[in-house]
Amino acid sequence: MTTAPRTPDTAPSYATPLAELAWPFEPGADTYRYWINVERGRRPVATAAGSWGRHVLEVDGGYPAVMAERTAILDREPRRCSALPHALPAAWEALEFGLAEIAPQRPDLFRLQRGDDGVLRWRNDLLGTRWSARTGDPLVDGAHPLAALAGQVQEDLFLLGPREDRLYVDAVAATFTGSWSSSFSLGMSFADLHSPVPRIRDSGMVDRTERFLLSLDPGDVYRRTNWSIYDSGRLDASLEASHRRDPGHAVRSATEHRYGSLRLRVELQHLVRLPATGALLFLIKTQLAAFADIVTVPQWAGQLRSVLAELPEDMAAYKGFARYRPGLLDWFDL
Amino acid sequence: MTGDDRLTVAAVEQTTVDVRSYVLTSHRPLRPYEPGSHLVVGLDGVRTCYSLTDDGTAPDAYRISVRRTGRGGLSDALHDTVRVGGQLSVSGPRSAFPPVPHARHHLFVAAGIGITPILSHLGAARRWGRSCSVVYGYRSGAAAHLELVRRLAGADLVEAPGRTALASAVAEAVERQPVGTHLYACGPRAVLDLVTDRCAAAGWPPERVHVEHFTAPDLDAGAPFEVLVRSSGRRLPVPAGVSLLEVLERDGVAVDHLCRTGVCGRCRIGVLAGTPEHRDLVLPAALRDAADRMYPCVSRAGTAELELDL
Ligand code: HEM
Repeated sequence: MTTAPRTPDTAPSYATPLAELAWPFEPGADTYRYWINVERGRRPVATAAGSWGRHVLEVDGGYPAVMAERTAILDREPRRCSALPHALPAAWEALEFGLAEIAPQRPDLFRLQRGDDGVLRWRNDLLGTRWSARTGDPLVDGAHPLAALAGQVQEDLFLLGPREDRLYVDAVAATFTGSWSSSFSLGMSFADLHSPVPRIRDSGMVDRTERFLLSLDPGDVYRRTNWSIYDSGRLDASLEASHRRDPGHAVRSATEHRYGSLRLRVELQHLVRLPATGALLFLIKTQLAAFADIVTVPQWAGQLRSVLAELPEDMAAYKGFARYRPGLLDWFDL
Repeated sequence: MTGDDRLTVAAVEQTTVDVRSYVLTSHRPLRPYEPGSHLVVGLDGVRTCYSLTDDGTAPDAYRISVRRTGRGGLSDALHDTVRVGGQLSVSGPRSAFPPVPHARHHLFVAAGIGITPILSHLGAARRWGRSCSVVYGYRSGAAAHLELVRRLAGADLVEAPGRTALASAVAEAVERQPVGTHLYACGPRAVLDLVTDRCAAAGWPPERVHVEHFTAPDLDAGAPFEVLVRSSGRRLPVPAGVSLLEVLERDGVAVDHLCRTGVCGRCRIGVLAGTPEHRDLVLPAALRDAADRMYPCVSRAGTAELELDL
């Protein structure tokens, strides 16, 4: 019993090593609900299989594979990166922040230098990138500064700016989002972005979250996780890429699927209040782990089964597994 | 940099007869800041805010300018006691007067020492090529940073020596501005009132008018109070400026928590007696008066003592 999509899906499958997975469930909890699960960043957390969370942007073992796929997507669809004109200073601040964050993680591959002449020089020997630019240049190596950063890091990047006490998406550089369109989100308000999510829109949670984000101090770094279930290890699950997939695939695979090849898709999200521009940098690192691998960690297997069994129907639908929940729970019990 | 930091006074410059500029440095890298930010300077238990005058993008030092008031107070104490090589205790920078990046045009109005945050804005506007103009009102012979403002603003500067000249320069600038302009004003109370009145008369939407008062920031340390921990019977003082959560932690009382800013709701504890003063963002409007629970990371007491269900 294997899935056989009608059109070949050439996107490579990606697997995050379990030792690096940002396990999204609270220790000991056997249920899950939406809440404002934010905590300060840059603190490692131990899990049943390893640990995560040391860095804000992190170059992990998947870097070469992830960057190869990102480069292919950006070459094909440059509109995955877009920015409003006034976001240039924030994009520059994000670029300098991001490169400074990853440079020390792989001194063998990366080199970041600020010359006495004020010129910033970047070199990435793995990707063969080499450029120099001055803070404020409209283009860095031919790309918008946020796109230039996206070309060097695994995370999806969003810049939000406050306008009359609300947050709006001012710039986007993203290739691996879940089933939504990041390019469509440019210019949208924080509230509108969250309007499709069941439960949270009317609970006051969106408003509270927005007030929290607006009140962050310069330089603050917070993080949270989000999760859902997908039927493939494809990093790019975005609406932009949906035309490349067989439209019946998701539904059919729901019934035919070998449950072990379902993927837990974890988004490790960081929120950084950039100090010089006041903009909010929102980072999403997408991680994927097959159920068959997750259940090799007994604590995870038990917890995931309980959470999935208990989750209310509307959330299960939003998380992508309501249709085949009974079969999936049986599979856990095998 | 949320707590207090000690910075070294690397240089002191007499900018005008009564204004001195201080260049503060650190052996650690200094955090960038938004244009219009201020530093909170503390000396002998008194704290006052001073605007930073650079654009903040990549600071090699923090620069502030302080006017002697002749009325004592922290500004005069700085003039009297701070010398090159000395140390100052500061916190921040904090941003409470930022530029609006999507504005079509930025109109800056400064009066007197109010030029300090405007100088920061002007530098940033020039760095990023934002369209701007400046009205600078001053007493003749006592204009801080005038040469620098002239150099940065060039033809976009209107100088107004004296209050009458300033009033007409403001009136004219406010009338002339294109749609989409944001105005930023810093100066004494009377000048800010003048600016806001003029803008209102000219039909400016209030969201486009930003003023910076010369007042202390809302540090909101809260009043001291006491808590009684039910399980241990221990009585703990909570000083101003210290959160109840910190006090409990220091005393070895474990309280589960995450955000420490009053949004996640994780640190909720039960209250048995006394009335909490809720400062969190968690409790919905209908529960803002609830006396049986509180979030100790931010909330404090409305009564002298609280008994906690811990
Ligand atoms: C502390 C900050 C945030 C909180 C607490 C929060 C909360 C949530 C929650 C609970 C969901 C439902 C997810 C699910 O069940 O799959 C969601 C979805 C979403 N959020 Fe946020 N969010 C935050 C920040 C942001 C930011 C900064 C953006 C800006 C791009 C954003 C964009 C979205 C979008 C587009 C979705 C729908 C797509 C999806 O289902 O993955 N969120 N958010």
